[in-house]
Amino acid sequence: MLVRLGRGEATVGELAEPLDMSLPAVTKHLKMLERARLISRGRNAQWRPCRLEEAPLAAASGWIEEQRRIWESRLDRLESYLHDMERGEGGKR
Amino acid sequence: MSTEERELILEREVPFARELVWRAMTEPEHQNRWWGPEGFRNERVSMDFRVGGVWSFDMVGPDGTRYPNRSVFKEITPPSRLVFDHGDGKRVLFEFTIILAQTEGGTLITLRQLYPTKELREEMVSKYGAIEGGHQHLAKLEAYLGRARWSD
Repeated sequence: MLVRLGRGEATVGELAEPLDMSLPAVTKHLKMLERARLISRGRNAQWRPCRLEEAPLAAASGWIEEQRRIWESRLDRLESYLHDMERGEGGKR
Repeated sequence: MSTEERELILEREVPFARELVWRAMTEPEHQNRWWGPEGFRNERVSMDFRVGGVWSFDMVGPDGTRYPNRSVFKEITPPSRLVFDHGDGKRVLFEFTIILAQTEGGTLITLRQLYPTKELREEMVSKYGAIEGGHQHLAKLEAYLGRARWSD
């Protein structure tokens, strides 16, 4: 959905079309994205087109990626250290 | 705001015994060896390993910049569960939980960061926001959101 919105505004129906999701499920997902302030929706009650909120999105994405990157590389180091530990101590599995 | 809306979860299965993983993650002499990125080291390490005890250290960067870490243990259940409040010495930034589960091939490590407030989470988001533009991560982000439900 976010990728689709990256190409421009869209309605719920347009967003749901290529997805294997029910309309209520799509609406629920959009509400979540809206609450997270990653998208905004128009005021027109009938159409309420969805639009990407680029600044929070970039921030959230950057932050999540940063946290992930830090922890993934930390776990990489932990894993290689566990190898050393096991060898050094003749440890067991 | 419910719990899962303020958390970040990572999992990794490693082919090692749970006791070994527990020691590597909780004993300072071991923890110091893998914690920091390349070129970083831990200094002024002190750990009072009991509930209510403080674990503090400075992460020192290649340029000498110090990043103070200060945690207070809330739950210690060897070798499966460790919970502590983590902060920078001035305030608590998040609650951190480490869960180690025995698997057939070794140990499943689950890490969970739980932010105390929406405001703090947003601050962390804006602090790191400058690092990277969003578009290339859209699909990944959306998949992640589906799991972590980043809503307020």
